[in-house]
Amino acid sequence: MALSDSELVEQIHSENSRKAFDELISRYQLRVMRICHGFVLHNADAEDLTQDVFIEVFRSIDRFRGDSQFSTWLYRIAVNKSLNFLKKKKREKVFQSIEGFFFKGDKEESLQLSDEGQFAADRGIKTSENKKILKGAINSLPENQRTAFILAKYQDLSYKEIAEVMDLSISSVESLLFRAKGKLQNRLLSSIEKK
Amino acid sequence: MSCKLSNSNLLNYIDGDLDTANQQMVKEHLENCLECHEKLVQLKSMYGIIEIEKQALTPNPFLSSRIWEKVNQVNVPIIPLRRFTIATIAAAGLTIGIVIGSLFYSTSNVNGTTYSEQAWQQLADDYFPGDSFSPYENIPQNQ
Repeated sequence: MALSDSELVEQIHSENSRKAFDELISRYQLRVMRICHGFVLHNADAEDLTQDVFIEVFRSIDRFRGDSQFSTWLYRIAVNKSLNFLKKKKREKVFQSIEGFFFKGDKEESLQLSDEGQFAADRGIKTSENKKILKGAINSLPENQRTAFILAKYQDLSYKEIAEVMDLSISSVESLLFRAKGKLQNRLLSSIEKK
Repeated sequence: MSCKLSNSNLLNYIDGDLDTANQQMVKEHLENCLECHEKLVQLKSMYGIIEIEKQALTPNPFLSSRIWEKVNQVNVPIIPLRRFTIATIAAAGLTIGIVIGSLFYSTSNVNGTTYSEQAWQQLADDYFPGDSFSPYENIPQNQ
């Protein structure tokens, strides 16, 4: 019979059990990856973030006292890591644009290289126009609406589970999702009409 | 139901989030309005990408070993680097402080004369006592 999450966590606490942690990784890897992918919209980045999430879980598992479910705690870490990643990326873009302003020649070169890298990474993946529009629309949502939407759509969490992860009431989650879908729909419909 | 009202509920309709009565009303409108139906089809194909992407994600069999590799690495780089940076900044600050302090001390004056001028004065008084004497005066001219 499979052990429950809390039993596995207990084994990690008491015995530092690698086997128990491996079981948690295999149980939650895909779910964490889906959340991260919902934010970063890039497979390789989502995988790297998933790795970081589990490393963080292992390092801070002593602080998990079982007040909430393990999955809630894990999803919260995944959301925080993803949001921090996006903030870091945004900062890097700002620095790159400042750098580009002062070192125009260098920037052209680095852009050329990064385009090549991007091409190599995305080789074989057909990026449709619809995909771009959808991603743009999701990215344009405010942070809390986006988080609620991603947990609902990419992770299929219930309102109650989303409320626990985001530390909000269920009615707040309902309202966030309603507004998120409204904004998303407007963005998508306006791009359909432009076509 | 008007087109505007129907359009404002399309995503909730696709997700089945509307209450039964509204779900039915939107459904009836879409069956009778070709334009709104066309929008629904396009919206569905865009929105459906989320499901496609979700299904395309697969577990990485090497993730566990990658995680253990990182976990077993000693946390070397971050903290010593920060400590080193802090120590460097502190040393630089101290050096700058000393330089500025010594400059300030050498130019601070008592009775309008600088420290170095006072030192010369004292030296001159020791070797050539006299009120009006200056070591720079009465120097024999080279013939």
